[in-house]
Amino acid sequence: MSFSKFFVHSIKRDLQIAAIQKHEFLLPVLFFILVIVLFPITVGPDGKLLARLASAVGWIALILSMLIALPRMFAEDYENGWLEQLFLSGTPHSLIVTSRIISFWLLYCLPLVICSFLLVPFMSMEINLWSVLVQTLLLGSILTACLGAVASALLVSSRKGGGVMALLLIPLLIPALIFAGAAMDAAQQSLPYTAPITILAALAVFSLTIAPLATAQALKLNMG
Amino acid sequence: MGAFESFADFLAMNGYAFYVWLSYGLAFLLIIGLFVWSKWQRKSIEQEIGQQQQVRTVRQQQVNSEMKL
Amino acid sequence: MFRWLHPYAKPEKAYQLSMAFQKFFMPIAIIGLLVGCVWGLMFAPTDYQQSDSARIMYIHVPAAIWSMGVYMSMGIAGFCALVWQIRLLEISVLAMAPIGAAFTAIALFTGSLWGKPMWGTWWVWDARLTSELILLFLYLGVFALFQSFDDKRTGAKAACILAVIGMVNVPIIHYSVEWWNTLHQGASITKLDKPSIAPSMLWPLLINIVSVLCLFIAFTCYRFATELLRAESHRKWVLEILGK
Repeated sequence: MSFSKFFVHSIKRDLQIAAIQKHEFLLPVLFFILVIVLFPITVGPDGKLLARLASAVGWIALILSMLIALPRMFAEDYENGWLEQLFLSGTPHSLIVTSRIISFWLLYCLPLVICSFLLVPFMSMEINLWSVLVQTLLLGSILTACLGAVASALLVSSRKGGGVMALLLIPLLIPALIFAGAAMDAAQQSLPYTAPITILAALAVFSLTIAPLATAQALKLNMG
Repeated sequence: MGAFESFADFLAMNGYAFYVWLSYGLAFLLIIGLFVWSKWQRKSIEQEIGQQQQVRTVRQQQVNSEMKL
Repeated sequence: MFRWLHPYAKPEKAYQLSMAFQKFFMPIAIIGLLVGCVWGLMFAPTDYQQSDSARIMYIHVPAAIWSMGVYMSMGIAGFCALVWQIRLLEISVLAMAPIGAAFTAIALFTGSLWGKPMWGTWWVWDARLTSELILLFLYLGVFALFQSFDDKRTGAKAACILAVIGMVNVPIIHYSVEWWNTLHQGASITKLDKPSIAPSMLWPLLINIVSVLCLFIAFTCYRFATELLRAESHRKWVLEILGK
């Protein structure tokens, strides 16, 4: 099987599996919405304050719901032996991992980014600011999926995953948060915001090239 | 002595005594703590290995005596 | 080119070498720290802007520099361990992690104690303090990852992978935090890191920086030797060394 064919095939397989287990991939989305709802309730229904917080809330909700979703990235394929078979099949390991990262992003990140539209009514966010937020979330979620792939691959065979996952992932995400915040700040003051977004894109591309190698290493380690 | 008029001045640190001495104290406490912890780890490992060795020699003696029988 | 290094890949030789290093560097570190601290506390001139609170610098700056340096060396050791499959380097990564965490904690405490008289609060989201805090989390992550495996060898390898990822990220985090800081706070804090420093204050600082490095080397060698004993506890040479 050629590499591109394998790539398409494995993404299709992941999507089909997700279509069967609908509750699994809807759970992070529900969690995302719940986190967004928490903020107006704790802060109070002050529109101006909520509008200022909105972009930060979007990011925090994204990271938290990713922490819910990430342990499932390789767990099932690892437990039923599918991953091991693939690794033995001679397909490049980083290709296997990249296809999984992309299907994960399609299944778990893209719905969250779409759901961030709820910030507009719930937290009285302006629609043009939301469009900037979506750009940062799209790029940032690629970064999160890549770094999260490494973290979840490292923890795939250990039973104490959850808390450690946060400790591994969040410090590495700080640069992304900083540049996303800078873009949102600039957009709020109607200044040009392309520079931080470009840096965010650079970080996303960089992690997309490096992370599959590290993830493949980590998975091999857990199989050996 | 040095940059200070007297020893009392040195201790007072121009009114910053609390911050300066606490930060030096904490730093050295942490370093000494790390040192003591490393020593303790080593000692416990040495003990563990010693016990292992004892068990092994006792077992060997048992085997030897059984062979004689 | 590296052929002279090969005998040291043997655990026994590595143990002897690291114990010798420890014996050599520990006295240097202790004497250097004593000299540097006494010089810094008693004989260095008082800073005209910050008065005597600036004397915290002589412990804060070395700790901050080497907290980053330890992570870098951890990352490099981890990288070499993964690429060339050297088990001794995996052990050295685990030996270094607690030392780096201790240095980071020192840098955080002293930075906060320095900040209180300067800024009026215990904590400011200043560039250096923020990146030290993130660094502490990175160190804790290495620990936690190692602890979450039952098999020590697998845990050590996983810690190596994380150390490498962290090493790639530490500069990105450091510079992005610095940039974020200038974006939000302006120049009010930059007086802490002046571009030039008087030579009379530089000497004790340099002595302390070098002796903290020696302390790091000595501690690493000692902890490395200990971990080596644990990993090789059933070998003959261990029993011979322990004299039992």
